[in-house]
Amino acid sequence: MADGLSFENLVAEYYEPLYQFAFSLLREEAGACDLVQQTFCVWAAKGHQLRDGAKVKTWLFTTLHREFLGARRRQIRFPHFDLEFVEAELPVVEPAATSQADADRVLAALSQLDEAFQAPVALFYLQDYSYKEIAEILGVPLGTIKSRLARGLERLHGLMADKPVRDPNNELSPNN
Amino acid sequence: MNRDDIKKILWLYRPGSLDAQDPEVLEALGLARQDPELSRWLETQSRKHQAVRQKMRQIPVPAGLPASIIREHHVQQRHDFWRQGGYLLAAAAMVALFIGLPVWLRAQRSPGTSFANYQTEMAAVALRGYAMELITNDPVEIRRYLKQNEAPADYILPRALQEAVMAGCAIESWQGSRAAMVCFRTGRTLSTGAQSDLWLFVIDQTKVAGAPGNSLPSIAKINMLTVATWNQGGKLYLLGTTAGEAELRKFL
Repeated sequence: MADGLSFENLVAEYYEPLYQFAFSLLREEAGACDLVQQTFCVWAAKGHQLRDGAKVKTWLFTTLHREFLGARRRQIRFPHFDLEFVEAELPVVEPAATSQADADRVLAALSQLDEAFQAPVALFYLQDYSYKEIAEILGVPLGTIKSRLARGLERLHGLMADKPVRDPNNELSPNN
Repeated sequence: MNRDDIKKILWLYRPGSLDAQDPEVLEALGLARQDPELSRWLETQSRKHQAVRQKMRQIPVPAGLPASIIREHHVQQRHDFWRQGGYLLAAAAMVALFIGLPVWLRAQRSPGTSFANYQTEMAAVALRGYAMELITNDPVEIRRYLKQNEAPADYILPRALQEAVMAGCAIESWQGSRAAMVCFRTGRTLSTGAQSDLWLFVIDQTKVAGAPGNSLPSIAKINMLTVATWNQGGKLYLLGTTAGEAELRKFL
């Protein structure tokens, strides 16, 4: 496990990015706090099993996402979309529209994305994780993550530009 | 790699991140920089990503969250400690029970090595019935049997008792020691099924705590049995009969 890293230090170092990730998934403060709390609870119980101290952050994000999915499953059953091997698509978005967006607007747009796109897009922007690391955290293949990111980003920017966005489940070719 | 391919790859490119370490991204970046149109597109694209990235990272975090997490952790730790402590306590109680119960039961069964207890138990043997291990009226045979079985065999009988008819013997276990039981007949009519009506118990005196040091017999009544006890040559003698004190005294 992460030798020499006390629980307090761990919390101090990671609570912020974890909260932002949780909030981007839930868009609700109390729920996000609970999710982060639960993540650290799991760490307190199982963190000692982690041998590679360099993977603490990834472990925490993975755990948070699992807890999120677990809570969701308990609440509702949602349809599964198989998005593997879908080509990347490019949106038609004016730069000005994006730059004017504030955090609320970004999150509002994020909330309109399909569930499968939300976590990859949130991690894409909140953290500097590589595509591979995002794939590891979310437990899906690298190709799937790339396609979900491409679709999710297209839809997100489309929503923020207040322009119609095509159905992400349809095959689209990139445009400029 | 054509323009569409390059755009597909660089659509996920975040400037300043590790994305540029991907060989595919690196190649696409190189090609884009050589193409003015693609360069402009990439610049626009990068600005868009950067803007969203900044906004996402501005999500305010509740100030009390870390304190709340740590507080909850400490509460959980205390809870775990007591829960674990409870298990330990239960385990300790079980161990104590397993160790203590046999000791307690043994203590209940045997009040100790006291003289009073010895008297009571030997009287009970005589009154409640016993099984003679050797049935013979031969004093030599009886001594040999007792000696072979590591029971006191070098006992000294009072002169009157030497005249009594022997019926046999048995060995009684008492507090980890062996007591010799020699059975006699007083000459009175025996009750149905009885083989003797006078019993002598001999044990090493050191095995009985508080055994009388007096060599003169002292008479006592233990339930229906009248007993005489005395000490001689380091051995404790207990002679008993149901025929009463007067009959008993005839053999002392």
